[in-house]
Amino acid sequence: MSTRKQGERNSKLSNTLFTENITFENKKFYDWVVTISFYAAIHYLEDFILPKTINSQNCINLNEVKSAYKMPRRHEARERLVWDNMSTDIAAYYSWLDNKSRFARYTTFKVTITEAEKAQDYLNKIINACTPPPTSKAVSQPIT
Amino acid sequence: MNPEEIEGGTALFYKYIIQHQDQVSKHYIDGYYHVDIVAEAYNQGFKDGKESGKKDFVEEMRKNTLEKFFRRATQVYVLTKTVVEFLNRNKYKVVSIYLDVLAQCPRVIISINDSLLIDDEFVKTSYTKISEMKRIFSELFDSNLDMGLVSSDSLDAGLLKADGFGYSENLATNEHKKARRKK
Repeated sequence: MSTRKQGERNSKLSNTLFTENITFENKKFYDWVVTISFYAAIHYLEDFILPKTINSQNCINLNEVKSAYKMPRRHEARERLVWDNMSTDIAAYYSWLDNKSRFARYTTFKVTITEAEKAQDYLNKIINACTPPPTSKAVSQPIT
Repeated sequence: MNPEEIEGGTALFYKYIIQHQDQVSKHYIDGYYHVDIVAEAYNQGFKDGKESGKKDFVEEMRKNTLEKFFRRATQVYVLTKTVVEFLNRNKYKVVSIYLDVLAQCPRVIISINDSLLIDDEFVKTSYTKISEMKRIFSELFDSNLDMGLVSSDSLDAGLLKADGFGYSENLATNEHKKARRKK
């Protein structure tokens, strides 16, 4: 499955958990909405940015990005890749999703509907930024 | 009231890193010296034109390690405070900071009121500044700084401490203390 397809798959799951009435002990899975949105964002961004030449090294995957940046961990390498190649707004939304999902355990996984909604909003903005506009087709002129 | 407790950051932070320096040297003495430190100490031994005994060599490495640790830890603190002050200047209040300076890649968590974390302008402003600080750190140390934001509501400070965030400052409390002292 392509990276973008994995993004679409995760995005659909996140959206389903947010909109459908799926609950456990009468509580919706807002923490998972955020986490899965983050994992969807990862795939969209990697698919959009890569391949990329970093420090004269042609990188086609994150392991190569990690090595080109000389960073020990994939997480940091990916974040640098995003900040180096996307607008600051999109990079900030990505960092927000990253922190929300990684640090959820420190707030006992308490995620509100507003935060889950924000996660969906940021993911959609990332998807739009990673989706190039359709190429305008030349309109055929009638032969006169 | 002890003034250090109020304005406290820097003094308290230094106290913390001095208290924990043994932890750092022990960790490295156990055989995990960074290759640069070993090379530096070894070359120094030859440069001095003498046979470095094992004791001198280890002592040199210990000193270098501690020096690097202090420099790195101080930089983590300075960069964290830069973010806090930047946010304050932009009328965003930071509740508390949590630092893990003992990890190979130091980590910082800045806690913020819940409502700010869903404010788009805040998200863009704060993460842009954080990204700038992370970049400065990696350029200075060939290592990465993991710095992020978390909601202060329902924050489990005990879990943060257990996860290695050994140093923390409650900035909201300090603000109250400063205001009380002014009265």
